[in-house]
Amino acid sequence: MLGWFHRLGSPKTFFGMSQSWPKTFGLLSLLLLVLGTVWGLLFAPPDYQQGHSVRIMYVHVPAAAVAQSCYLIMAISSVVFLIWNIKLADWAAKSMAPIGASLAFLVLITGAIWGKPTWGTWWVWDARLTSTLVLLLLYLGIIALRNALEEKGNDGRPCAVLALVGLVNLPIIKYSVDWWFTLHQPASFTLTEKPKMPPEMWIPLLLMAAGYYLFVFSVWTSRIRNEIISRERKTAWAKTWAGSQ
Amino acid sequence: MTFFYRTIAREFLNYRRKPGLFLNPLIFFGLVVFLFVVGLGPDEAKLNQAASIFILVASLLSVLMSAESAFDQDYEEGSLELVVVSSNSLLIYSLAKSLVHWVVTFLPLILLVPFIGIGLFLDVEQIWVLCLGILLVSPTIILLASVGAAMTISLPRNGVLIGLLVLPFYVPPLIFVTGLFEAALLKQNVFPYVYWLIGLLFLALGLAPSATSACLRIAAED
Repeated sequence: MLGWFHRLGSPKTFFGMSQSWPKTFGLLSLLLLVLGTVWGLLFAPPDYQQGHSVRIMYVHVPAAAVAQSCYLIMAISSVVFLIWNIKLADWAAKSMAPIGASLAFLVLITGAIWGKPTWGTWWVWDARLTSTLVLLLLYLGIIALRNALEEKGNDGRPCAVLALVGLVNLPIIKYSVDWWFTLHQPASFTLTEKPKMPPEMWIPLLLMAAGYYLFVFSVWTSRIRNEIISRERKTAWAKTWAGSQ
Repeated sequence: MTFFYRTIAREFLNYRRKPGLFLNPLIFFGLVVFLFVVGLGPDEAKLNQAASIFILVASLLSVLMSAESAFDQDYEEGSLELVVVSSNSLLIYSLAKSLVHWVVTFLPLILLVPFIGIGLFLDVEQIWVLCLGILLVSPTIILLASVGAAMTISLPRNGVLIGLLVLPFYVPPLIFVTGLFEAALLKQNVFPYVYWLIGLLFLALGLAPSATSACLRIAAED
């Protein structure tokens, strides 16, 4: 187990291993996203209250789930980096931040578009919306710190600490803003309960969620690979690899 | 413990020699509150309602201003490195730093709050509650700011960056202090908010110094 962990942590091994990951996961996610989008937009039934505007759910809800998962993955990578000092974990955390930030942005945008027809307003200062905005701000802070650190040639350890501090704070932000006014509906999906919507609605939603995760995984691994090759370009194995391409 | 007291004494000496380090943020605090009040106009009810927000946001900004210089000097002159290589605990060092930072920024600020409160037409009870809120939330604010300052210590022109990193973390303190104050305005039970603020304080006290000292160690080792 530990040996496997160490091998995965070596940039060279990871680079060799992950050769086909971006393409494979990208194609799989494309398939799922196309399937989910077509099903969700054309064939799923409209909501009895919201009508057709409910269809933006198929973009909005998975993005919200994945934007938060991205933060968790980034924080886990940061822990691994801080404890075992594995550089690859630092690069993984670095590669995840912009993905998470763009997904959080997507959540806010699609939420605003959904809010206009259903709530009659683009934005309310509601618990969910505010905590998602804070999530976006955290991502932006982490990216800004990373840029400043790299400009000076330092590694990402302060960034990793920031990600962890943010991890502690996220539930607090979530529950503290919950005490504000709440307009947003509760979670669409929980692991423990049967979904309240019909299967024609939640199956495409599930497909979209799986597609989003695979998409993130594909972009993430491809970003990590870019990071590895740009940092290790002076090494012998990288040159051999470049020659073979 | 002697290291703790020595660090505190050294910090106070430092602030005494450079009074601008704590006076300027204080004046800045007054100016920000003044600008808020001028912007909102002289309506008594409006000022009443917004008082806690003015004071809290202005204090956050002034703390961020002074946080920038909290570790800078020690880092530049090399005494931070000496603390790291010595057997003294960085945790104690950062706690002592935060304590002094709190004394020089928030103690005068809390003393100013009653005067500002009179200017915002608050009654005595509301001023008390506001002072209590600031008193409870201020250590949390200082501790979080110290994490931000330690994170960016090795970077040039880090002032804006500290704000960018730390301000999102000030959402819960802001919510609970304004909640406390609103409850006091409406003559409701303020204790839930007080307990929350104490909880946040202990959470910050438990975790922030470790994060600060981790960042300081990283900066000193680089």
